[in-house]
Amino acid sequence: MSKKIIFESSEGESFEVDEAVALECQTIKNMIEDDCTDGGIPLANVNSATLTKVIDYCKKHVEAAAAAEANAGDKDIYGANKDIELKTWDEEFVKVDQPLLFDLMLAANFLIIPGLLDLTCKTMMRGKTVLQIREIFHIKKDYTDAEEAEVRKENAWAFE
Amino acid sequence: MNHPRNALVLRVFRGDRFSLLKQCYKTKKIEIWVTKNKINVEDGDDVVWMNFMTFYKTNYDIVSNASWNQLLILRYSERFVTICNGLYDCFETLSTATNRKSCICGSKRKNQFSNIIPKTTFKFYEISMMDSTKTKKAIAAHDQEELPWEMIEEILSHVPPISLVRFRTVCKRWNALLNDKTFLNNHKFTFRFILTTKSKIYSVSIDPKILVRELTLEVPGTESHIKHLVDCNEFLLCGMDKVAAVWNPWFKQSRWIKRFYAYFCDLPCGMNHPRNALVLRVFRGDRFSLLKQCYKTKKIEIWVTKNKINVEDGNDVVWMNFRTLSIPNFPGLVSNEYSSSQPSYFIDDKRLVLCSCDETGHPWIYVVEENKLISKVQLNDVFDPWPLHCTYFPSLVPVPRGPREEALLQD
Repeated sequence: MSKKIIFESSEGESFEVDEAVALECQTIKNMIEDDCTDGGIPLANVNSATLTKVIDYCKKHVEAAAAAEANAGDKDIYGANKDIELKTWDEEFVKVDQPLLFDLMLAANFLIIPGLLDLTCKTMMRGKTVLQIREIFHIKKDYTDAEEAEVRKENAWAFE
Repeated sequence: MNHPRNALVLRVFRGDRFSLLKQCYKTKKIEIWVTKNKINVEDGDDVVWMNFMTFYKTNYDIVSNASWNQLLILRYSERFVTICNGLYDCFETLSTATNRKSCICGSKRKNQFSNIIPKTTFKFYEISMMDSTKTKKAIAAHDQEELPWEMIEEILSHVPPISLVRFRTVCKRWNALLNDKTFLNNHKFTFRFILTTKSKIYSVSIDPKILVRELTLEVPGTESHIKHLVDCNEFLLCGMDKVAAVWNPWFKQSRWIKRFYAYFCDLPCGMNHPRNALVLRVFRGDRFSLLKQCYKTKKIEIWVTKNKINVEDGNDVVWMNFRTLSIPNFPGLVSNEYSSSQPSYFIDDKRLVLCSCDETGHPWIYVVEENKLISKVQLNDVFDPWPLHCTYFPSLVPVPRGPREEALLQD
């Protein structure tokens, strides 16, 4: 039986995962290599809802990698399909509300899960207008209207 | 001389070397040195130390948080150092890439920890050390008023380049970030070399590892074949038979320009044997560098111009030797006398990174640090032999419009 790692969310809830799944997180990987995961790993800045999603993501990607490994050698049309399937799964995975997406992104950054960080950052910013961005990040506009118009004009081609 | 309040820890490193960690008690800067060579236990005279990594922005105070003799450096990797603070069972991962730290705590003796929360500037990294008297409360990160700037940089480094240009209008600080070369050179879409074959275009990024990606780009003037690729600060120049195009591959923008040849200045290497490698490049934005490899000895010489290039006058160009590398068994960068394929290269801090084709036309990347070849990778993903290749660091500068297009725009 594979070794288990226990995460503890900010609410104190325990989550048991296979070591292979936990290894998807670089931060945890370092800890496992240093053999200091006994008694569980408290993650006081990741709540249960976020942690559940993070574990789902890692599980799926571990399974996908194992499947790809098994199919290695016969790189045929099915291999390509698997890739597309995982992409579709990822897209569905990040169809969540903005606050959860934000938490997922921060968790991915903190736990160092490059794939999830990339996915959440891209999703967060995709198709957003400048006004929406200011709202999401609580940014005050510090351009005057004239300045903003000028910057926009200089970069008008990107808005086309 | 070391101040007694500094942290100073000596450890065995990679089995046969030493490492030394020091933290200044005032600035909190952490420096780590390692010995260059294997320790000869019988003779300490020829121990050479070299700086291994430095963390400037640490808020973590090793000495006040731990009795330093219990501090244990657990692991160095290329970019991280994990520190185990024995007394408190606290693990720190410091990243040299961002000079940022994250902290994770072991839990064996967690009830003693309530008073040692490392003060970090990043609210969401703060792991409350399980103070058992307090009710555990979910910290919802999106409730935070403002994200730390480092996190914004991280997010933007995942955003496709065209969207980045739109975000220039968000605020002045974002706009300034998008002009920052360091940010762009660490962007997830960036690369260091561009390779073109008859049907495909590839990018090659070097850090953290050598990675080839196929780019879906339109080459300017699809019908004519590109004969040369040259990087020119923000843009790439593609030379065809009679014309040339200025190209920004990130934006798929290009513009035709006229080309002409004129004498500018002499090169520092005198007469050159046709089988030597000889490549001229822009260096640090406004200077030239020249790389030459002797086809016989494989010795590499690099010159740079002393001053900024004055484009109107090549007479006062002064060349100086920048580096000479004699590396045993280093491959020839021009593979045979019939090949016109020259290597391409760039120099960053300590490294010289080269791309060149072997005698079968397959491209390789060589990374040289100091006088040592530290990695050598064949780019197997590039299928067709003899690709054109060139260094290029993508930029967010749009290709300037010609006067005619400007006039059309004014109307």
